[in-house]
Amino acid sequence: MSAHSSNEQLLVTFWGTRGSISTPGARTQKYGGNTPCVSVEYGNTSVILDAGTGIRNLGIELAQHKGESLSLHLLLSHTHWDHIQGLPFFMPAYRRGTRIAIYGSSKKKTFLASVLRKQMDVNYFPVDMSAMAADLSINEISSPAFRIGRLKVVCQEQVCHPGGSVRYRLHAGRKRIVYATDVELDAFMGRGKTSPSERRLARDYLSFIRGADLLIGDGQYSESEYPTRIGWGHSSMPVLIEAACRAKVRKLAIFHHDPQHTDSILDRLWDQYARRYKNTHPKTAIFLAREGMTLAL
Amino acid sequence: MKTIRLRKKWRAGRGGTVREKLRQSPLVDTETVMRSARELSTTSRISTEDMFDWLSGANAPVLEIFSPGEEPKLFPLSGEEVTIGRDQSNRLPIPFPNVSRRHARVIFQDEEYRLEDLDSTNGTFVNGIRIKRCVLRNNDQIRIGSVRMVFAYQRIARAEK
Repeated sequence: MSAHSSNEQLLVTFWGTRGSISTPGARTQKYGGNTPCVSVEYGNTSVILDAGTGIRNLGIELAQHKGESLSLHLLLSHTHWDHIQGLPFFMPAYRRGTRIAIYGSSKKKTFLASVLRKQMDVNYFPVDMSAMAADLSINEISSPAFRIGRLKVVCQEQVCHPGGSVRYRLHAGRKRIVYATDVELDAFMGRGKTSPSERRLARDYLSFIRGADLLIGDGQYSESEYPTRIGWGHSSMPVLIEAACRAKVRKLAIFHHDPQHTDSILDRLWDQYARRYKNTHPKTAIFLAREGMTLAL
Repeated sequence: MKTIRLRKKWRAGRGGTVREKLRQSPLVDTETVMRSARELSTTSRISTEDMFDWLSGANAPVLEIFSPGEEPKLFPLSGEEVTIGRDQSNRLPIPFPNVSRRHARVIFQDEEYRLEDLDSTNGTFVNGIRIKRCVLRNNDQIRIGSVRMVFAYQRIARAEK
């Protein structure tokens, strides 16, 4: 991520793709061991999705642009550890002159600012949040749509995750990126899910992702793993893939990889699902999100 | 110290060419490798020179290039930037019509090899996904126009064949 991308390209970079807990080591080197963080650049607008441990590397890269004043926007899906734990290690937050606006759900019992501050309580972290010298603003989202620079942001609460989460859709000109992680799609789109409330949730989800140029979606489990993880708040890969294909998503990045899934397991799962969906849904390009990969949309 | 048993093929002398290449490479700390070779060679019957080749030859990155109608080729990466494109001025020229003049480049940054598309017309693909930039991992499959490449860590000895 550069401080400002030089042209009008819409660039999406994966800094962390792992779910639940970071998994460093040789066995996860290919898809990455850092927890969720994705950056989106459009002209001079920079948006960061989630502050998992992957945000640390993004911060290191941004810190190389000395002398440039950074204006960053961080959209949090929710405040579970794996989505905020990198924030105390985000170097630009300690740099005077950097502006960081953080956005998150307003539907929680505790204020977002309080949750983030508590993470840096001395019992958990040696540095207090007040040490962050950047111009930091923490915003609880009050509107389902708002603008960040030249990007339009649309958001929606997701219910099928313990504590809830928020999905985001970013509009850059005619391009659309959806970030919808930490949601258990199987709970309302899996087999036999036909109650009115399940159908409504499915309709809302499909409508939100419809026609997206890129969907970054929760696909933590294989279909054989899912039955032992019901209620954990994450989706199985085939349910995610089928939803993306139904909604005519152009590119699907399967995201929030299970910590138990080594590179070879993910490669094997990918091979299995790619074969299954290649012929039936050729218009949706499906891939496993991978740390260190930048896409131009 | 544990004695390392080497396969016969790695015992053969490699000559000075490999060593020279490795000394020029930013990937290899020559002194460390030589020190390791000296220590290991006290517990085996392999000469320090051969051990040096064996140790330093491990994990040398290459691009295996598969062009239509041509024999596969190996292009060793030494840490220097490698531009790839149709023009002969590129460090790795691939003269095919669906390849842009300056199509992509491989750079070594933060101790990792990275592939970057240079706004090419037909795109740069890693494992089937069109990318702008991508950190390269062992056995990644790259497609540039009709040319396919595999990024792999191999022994330098193989790259010299």
